[in-house]
Amino acid sequence: MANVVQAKNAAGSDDPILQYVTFRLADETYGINVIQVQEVLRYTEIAPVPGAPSYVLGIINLRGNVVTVIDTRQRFGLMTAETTDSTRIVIIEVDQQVVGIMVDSVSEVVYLRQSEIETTPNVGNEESAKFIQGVCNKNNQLLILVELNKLMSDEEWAEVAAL
Amino acid sequence: MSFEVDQDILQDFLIEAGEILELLSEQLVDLEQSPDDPDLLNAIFRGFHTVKGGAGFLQLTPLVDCCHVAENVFDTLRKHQRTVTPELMDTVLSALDTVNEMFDEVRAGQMPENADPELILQLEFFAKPEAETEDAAPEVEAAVSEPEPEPAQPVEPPISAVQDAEGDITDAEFESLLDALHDGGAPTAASPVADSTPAEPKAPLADTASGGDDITEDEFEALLDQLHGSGKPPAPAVEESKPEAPVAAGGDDLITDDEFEALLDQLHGKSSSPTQPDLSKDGAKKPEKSAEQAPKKVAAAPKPAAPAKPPAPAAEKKVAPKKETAPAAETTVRVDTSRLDDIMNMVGELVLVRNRLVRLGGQSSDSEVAKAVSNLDVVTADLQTSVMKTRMQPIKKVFGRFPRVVRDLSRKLKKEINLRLIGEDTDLDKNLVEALADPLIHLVRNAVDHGIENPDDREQKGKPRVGEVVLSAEQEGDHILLTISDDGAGMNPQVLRNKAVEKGRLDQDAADRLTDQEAFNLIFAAGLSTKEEISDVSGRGVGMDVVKTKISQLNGTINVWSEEGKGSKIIIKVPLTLAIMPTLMVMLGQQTFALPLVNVNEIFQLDISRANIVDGQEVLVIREKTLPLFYLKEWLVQGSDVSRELKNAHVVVVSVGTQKVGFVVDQLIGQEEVVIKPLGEMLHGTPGMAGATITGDGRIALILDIPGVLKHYAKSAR
Repeated sequence: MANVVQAKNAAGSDDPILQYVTFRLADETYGINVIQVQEVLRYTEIAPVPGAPSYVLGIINLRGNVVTVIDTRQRFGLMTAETTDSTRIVIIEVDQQVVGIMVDSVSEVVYLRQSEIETTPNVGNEESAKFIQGVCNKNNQLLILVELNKLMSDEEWAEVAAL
Repeated sequence: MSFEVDQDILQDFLIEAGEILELLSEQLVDLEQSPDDPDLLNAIFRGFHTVKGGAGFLQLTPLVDCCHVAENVFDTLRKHQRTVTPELMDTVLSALDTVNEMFDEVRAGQMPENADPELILQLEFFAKPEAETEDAAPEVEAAVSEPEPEPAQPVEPPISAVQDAEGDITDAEFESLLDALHDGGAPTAASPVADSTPAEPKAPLADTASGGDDITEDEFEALLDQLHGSGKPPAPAVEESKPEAPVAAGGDDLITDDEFEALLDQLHGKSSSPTQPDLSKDGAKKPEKSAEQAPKKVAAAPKPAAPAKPPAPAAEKKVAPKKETAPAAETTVRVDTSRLDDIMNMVGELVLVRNRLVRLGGQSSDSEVAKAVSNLDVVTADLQTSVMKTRMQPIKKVFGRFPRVVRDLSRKLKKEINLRLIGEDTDLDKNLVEALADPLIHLVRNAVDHGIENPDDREQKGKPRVGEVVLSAEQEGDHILLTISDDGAGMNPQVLRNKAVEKGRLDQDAADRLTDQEAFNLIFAAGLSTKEEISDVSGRGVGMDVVKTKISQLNGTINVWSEEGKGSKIIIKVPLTLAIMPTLMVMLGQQTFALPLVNVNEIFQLDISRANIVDGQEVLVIREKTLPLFYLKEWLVQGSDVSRELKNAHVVVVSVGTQKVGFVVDQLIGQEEVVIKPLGEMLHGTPGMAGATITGDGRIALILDIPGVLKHYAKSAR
C-alpha cells in the first residue's frame, strides 16, 4: 500500500495523493489517513472500565491484546446511538498507541490530492472542531478529515470540558 | 559528551560486556578465597581483556584505559610475579566499580569520564612484578635520576602536539613521540626528535606501518594479541594522552620515580602503533630495561612472529581455553524479551482457541475430532510450558552479586562474615529476577550491618568469630521461597514496640497488644530504624518499607522471624512468574472481575441483612471481629444497586496490609490463573485497576488492584 502511495507521490511530485478511510458518524462523513488505520472490526462486546474517562467506552480483546475503545460520538459532541449491524470499531495506531474508535459505519478508501484539502472553516468553540484537520469537497460531499492525535489527548478534552 | 557509534554494535557490546562484568565481580570474590587458581586468574584476565577489546572498538577510551591496567595486574598475577593481597583486591574491585560506572554511562549514551588517575596509578603499581617494585625500585631510580630534569621537557611537546592533533595522529608522529620518550628514558640515545626526520631505529618501523596499510590496525592488533596472548593491544585513539597530561604536567618540575614509570607505562601500554606491542609489554613490566633496549626491540618489531618468545607460554594457555568455550557459546541465541512476550501472547491465544475447541469437541460425537482435539490439548500445554521456560533465569543472576556486597561491607564494618548461597540454580521469571535484586541487596546489607555483631562481641557471647549469612532460594509449588538468615544478634520485640511508640507510630496500648510476630513486622514501617547512628550502610529506616512495597508489587509476601541472640530470618515468597497471577474470578452484574488471590482471605455466604451500621459504615461481625462491608457492584458497575436484604450473599474477605474488609459480590466463579495484560496508555493509572485478562471464553475480565479500589472508592463513598 505504501508503495502505491509513493508511486503516486512521484507522479505528482509537489501535490501528493493521500488515501483516507472514510466513516460515517451521525450524518457526516469523516476521513482518517489510511496509514494510521490498522484494521476495521465488527462490533464486539466492549467491557466497560470503572473509573475510566467518560469518552472511553471500555476495552476489547483484539486477538489477545487489550485495546481501549473511544466513544467517538461523545468525543465529537454527538448524541449516543444504538449499535447496529453496520457499527464498526476502527483500530488505529497513533504515537505507538493502539486504540479503537467506534463509528456508525465504514464506507471506503478515497484518494485525495493534498491541494484538495482545505483548512477548517473556523466555527468557533464547537467541540468537534477541535479534532478536525481539514475538510475536502469531493463529488459534492463534504469529507471531514480527523486529527487523531488530538482525539486521544486529554488536554484538549479538559479544555473543552472547562468551557 | 555523547558519542556516535553504530547502535547495533553498541548494543551487542553492552549485552556481552554486561555479562562479563557481572561474572567478573563473582570471580574476583572467588579469587580472594582461592588466590592461586590459575584458571580463575586467566578467566578474570580474559574478562577484562574482552571488555577492553570491545570498548576499544567503540573508542571508549576511558574504559579501555581502566580495563587495560586491570588486565596488566592480572597478567602479573597469573605469571606468579605477585600474590593476591587484600589491598590489591580492594584496588581491583574499585577498578571494577569504575568500569561498571563507565559502563552505565555508556549505556546512557554518554562518553564515560576518565578514571581517577590515582586509581590507575595504584593499578599500575600492582601490575608490576612484586620483586621489581621492591628490589628494582632503586635501580630504576638510578636509571632515571640522571635524565630526570631533562625528560620532562622532551616529553611535553609531543604530548601537546598529540592533543592538538585530536586523535588524528600519523604513525610517524606517534613514533616520534615514542622515540622522544625512549630518548628521555635512555639518556644515551639521540636528542628528542620533534621533527619528522626518522632516526635510525625508526626507519624499519615506518616501513611496516606503510607496508601494512592493506591490513587494518585493528586486525593487526588482533593478530598480535593472539600471538602474544598477553593481549596488550594498543588502545586505538590517541585521545588517551589526555589522562597522561596531568602526570606530565606534574612531572614538570620534579618527576618522581613512580610518576615517571607510570608515564612510561601509559605511553608504552597505549601506543597505538601496531608494531610496538612487545615494547609496550616490556614497557609495562620493566620500564627501565625497555628504555635501554628500545632501539633493539624496535628493530625487531617488524617481524611479529619474533617477539613471541617471552609471552609464548601465556599465549598457548590463553588460546586453548578459548577454543573450548567457543562451541558452547554457539548453542545459545539472544532473543529480545519483547519477542518472547509476543510469543507468550500468541500462545495464550492458542490456549483460548484450544479451550473453545475442547468445548466443541466434547459436544460432537466424532471420535476422530475428539482425538485431534485432545492431541492439540497436550501440545498446547507443552508449548505453553516451554515458552514459559524460555523466560526463566536462574536466581544466580541476583545471588551472584552478593559475595561482593558482603565482602565489601564486612571489610568496611570490620566484621568477619561468611556468606552461604543455597539453591542458586532455582529458576524464575526474568522480570522477577531483576525486580528482586534491589530488595535482596537491602536485606543482605541489613543482615550484615544490623544482624551480625562485631567479632569480639561474638566471641564474648560464645559464638564463632565469623558470622554467617545464608541466602537461599527454593521452589515451593508455584512459588519461590527466598530466605535471608543470619546468626547475629536477632531482634528484641520490646525494643521495636518502644521505638514505634517513641516515633509516634502507635500508642502504648496498641504497641503492647502486638504479638512478637507483629512487632517484628514493624521493621517494615517507614521511618523506623533502631540503629542509633545512621551510616551510609543503613539506618535511615527507609529501606525496609521500600522492600515491603516492592515485594507486594510482585504479588509476594514477606515475613520476619527472629530470636534475640540467635539471629533473624526473613522469608520472602514470590510467585514463579509475574506474567501469570492466581486470581479469584467473581461476577458483578454481567461483568467478570478478577481479585488477586494474594489479597483474598476467605469467602463467606452470609445473610447480610444482619449487617450493622457503625458510624455510617456497614459492618459485619464475623468470629467476633468486625469487618467493614462494601458492595463492589455499586462501585464498579454503573447505575447498580444492591439489595441490603440478601439472605445468601457472597462475601469475599480481602486483606490489605493488616486491615481486612468484606466485599459483597454477585457470583463466585472460581480460582483461575490469568495472564495479566496491561491496560493501554489511555487507561493507565485508572484507579483500582491492575490490568485486564482474557477469560476462557474470549471475554475480558478486569483485574482489581484491591488497595487501589479501597483507597479510591471507600473514600468517595463516605
